[in-house]
Amino acid sequence: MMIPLLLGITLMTFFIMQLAPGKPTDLVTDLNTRMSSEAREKLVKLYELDRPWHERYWKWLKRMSRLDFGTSFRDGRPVIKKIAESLPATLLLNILSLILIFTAALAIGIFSAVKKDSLFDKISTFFVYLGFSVPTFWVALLLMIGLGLKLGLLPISGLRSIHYSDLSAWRKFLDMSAHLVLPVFVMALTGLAGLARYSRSAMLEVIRQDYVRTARAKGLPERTVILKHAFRNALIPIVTLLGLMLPELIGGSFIFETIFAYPGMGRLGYDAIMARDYPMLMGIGTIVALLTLAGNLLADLLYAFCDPRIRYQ
Amino acid sequence: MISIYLHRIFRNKLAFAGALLMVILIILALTAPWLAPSHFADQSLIDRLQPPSGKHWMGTDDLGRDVFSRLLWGTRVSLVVAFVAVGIATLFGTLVGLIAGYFGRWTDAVLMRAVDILLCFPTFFLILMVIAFLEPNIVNVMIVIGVTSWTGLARLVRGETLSLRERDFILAARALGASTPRILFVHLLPNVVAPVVVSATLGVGGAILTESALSFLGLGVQPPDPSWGNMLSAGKDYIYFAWWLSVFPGLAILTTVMAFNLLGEGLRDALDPRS
Amino acid sequence: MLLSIKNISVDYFRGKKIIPALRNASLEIAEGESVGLVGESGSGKSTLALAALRLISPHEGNITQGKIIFQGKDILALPEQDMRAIRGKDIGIIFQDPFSSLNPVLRIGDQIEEAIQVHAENKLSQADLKKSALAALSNARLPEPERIYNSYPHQVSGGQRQRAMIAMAIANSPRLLIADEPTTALDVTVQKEILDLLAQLRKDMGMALILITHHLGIVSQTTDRIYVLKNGEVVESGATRSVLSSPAHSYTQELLRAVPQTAKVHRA
Repeated sequence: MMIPLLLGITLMTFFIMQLAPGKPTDLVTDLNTRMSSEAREKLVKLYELDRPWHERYWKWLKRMSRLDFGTSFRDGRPVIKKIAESLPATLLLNILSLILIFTAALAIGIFSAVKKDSLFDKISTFFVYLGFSVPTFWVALLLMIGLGLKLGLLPISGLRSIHYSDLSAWRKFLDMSAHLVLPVFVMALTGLAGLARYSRSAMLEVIRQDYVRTARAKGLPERTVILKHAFRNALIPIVTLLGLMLPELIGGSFIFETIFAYPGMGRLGYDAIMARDYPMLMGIGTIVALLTLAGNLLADLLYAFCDPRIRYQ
Repeated sequence: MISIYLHRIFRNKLAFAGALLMVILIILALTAPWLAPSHFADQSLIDRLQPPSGKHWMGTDDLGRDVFSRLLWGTRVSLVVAFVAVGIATLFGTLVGLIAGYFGRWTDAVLMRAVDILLCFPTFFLILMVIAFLEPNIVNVMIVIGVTSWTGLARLVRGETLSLRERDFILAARALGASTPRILFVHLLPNVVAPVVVSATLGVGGAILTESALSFLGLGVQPPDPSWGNMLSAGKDYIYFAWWLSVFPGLAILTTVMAFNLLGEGLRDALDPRS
Repeated sequence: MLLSIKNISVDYFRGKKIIPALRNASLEIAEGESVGLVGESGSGKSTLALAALRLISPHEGNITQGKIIFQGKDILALPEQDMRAIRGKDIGIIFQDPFSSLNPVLRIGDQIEEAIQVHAENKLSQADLKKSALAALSNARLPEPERIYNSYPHQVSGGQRQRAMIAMAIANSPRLLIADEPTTALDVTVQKEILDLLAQLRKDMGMALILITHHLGIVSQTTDRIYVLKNGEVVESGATRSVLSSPAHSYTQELLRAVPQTAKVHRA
């Protein structure tokens, strides 16, 4: 099942590469004014655009399996190295956000479902609608200005302060944490809506089930009924969503990393886009696709783990 | 049948509000050239960075352009991009869904594999990548958004088609010798219209958010053409002392997307066969 | 009188509409008696059982009038805490579909132990809980109680599931067991086993039984008295044998006519 997907990814990335200007015909017409002739020559050599496409694809496939994406146009360093340097920061940011999203969305979802049509439910539904409609980068901008600049509470860029290396280990940790607060908070706030709404409906669906009625009929306190019986079952579809959300978050963190000047893969990608650093983009694109596949795999595993009906066939 | 749907829409308050807002926005977009106090490219370097006043309801930007006018002109951009992109996505997605669902087996397997491959790339990221390889302009943005967001709809339509395929009226049509295109478009398509309309409406909101994000990053609509996204981008450098540049375009995006989301959700409730 | 339900009316809410489910229904059952509650689907028989246990949530519906007295206590006036003490301890209930009525992600043993622990005076040790759970499973005449104890609901057969549900319901030796269509979702061969089990448990534990069903053949063999429900109202009641041999109400006669020959009343 994985193999065709992996092959498909290589095909897809190859196809996108072909969109790049710099094909022999384009050399003449010169559509993309941002490219210098030097960069174009590099491209031609790198992708051997003068050879037939199947040869090129085969070469691309071989290089991809070794994760060799060539060297960056900007500073000549190997692409895979630059990605490896920035990936941990991005993963840190996204995993923290995911944890925050998960806990907050679940709490809101459960509460809204249990107290259906209450004031809390109506207000949180309203905010969820708002969350779906708001441009995330705008919220990031406003919060950055409000909390960061105007109130001076938190740092607004980077992951470490300038004097980081002078700090003790504990203060280093605090410094990094302070830098993470705003980006993580903003990412979580804007990513909350979908999961909150989903967990509400999953919970509502489960509460209707017969086994919840049985639990009450046994004389169990309501809290046990909701948490041990209802929630455990609602968790199953929600948890699979986790695995699927991680790649979406990574895709979206591009904007956040750019706004907060956060030294992650997203920022790297944005700079690469601006500089038309194609090898870099191909590398990042492939890595992101692989991460997405990993996320899907994780979702399947989590699902099998949580649902005994799947685990014990 | 349409009258029943319309009746349901009017009864649902949220859908009605959304529909009303949508109509207002479309009117604003169409009448912008006459409604706006000034043209979006009119500069006035003496009036740079003026706060909101009687003369400039939403202030001016760093080139002295009236923000309110640019906001109105921006409505045209947002709506056009969103409608065209969603149009492309809907067309493509519905077609793929119908074909995959109706023919089944190999066709279905191949098409759904293609969908899976596309889904390996987070949508926004995919759009960023493709735009990076192409020239960022409004036409490319429309096409790229359209070509990357049809997957959800394809799956939806495929599911519906699969379940409708075995129904009596389809079998009857086939027995009567109806040609395949006829079955697809005259018999199956009308029954799939409801979820397609809902998906398209919600898709407009998403397309507006994507386009404004792209423009914000400099990869969408290029200045001096006004897009709410690129207005926010230009305004962020002056955010500390010219708050109006960062507030109004954002509110415009929020209101517009909200309108379409409300309408879409309302339509979903109204067209839900269970109620 | 163990349980006395007098003139109960229940309304259900569906969106904005109010749907009457029960109108002035009454039912009585004494210690150790076996009573049948018969009617088509939608007649309100399950509603009566749920009302007796106050298992109708305020969202779904409410009891608009009537009185329910159980062991001298006014059920409708009880605080929720006291009601919970009765559910699963003094009154047990089993439902129609054991597959959907058991929590799919918890082991059967776990679910039975839960029922025991919540009504126990002190915190019981795991060993004691397991012993009691296994005992309950044996009482339900399950041949491999240990295996069932460790299994998830989807790993056992339909008949075993229903027995597990019964084990769970009688684990605390209730005075009254309500069985809502206990055999409807099961194979015919298994149905008789379950009915026999219920009869046996009644004898061994001196338990009263309310048997809810749409199948007259079942009540004819297992109950002392029956009530016939139609559209939320009790149209006829009395000793089983006399009601079934000479039904007074036209509806009862219709129901009798619908029963296949072999399942009719035995004049033994």
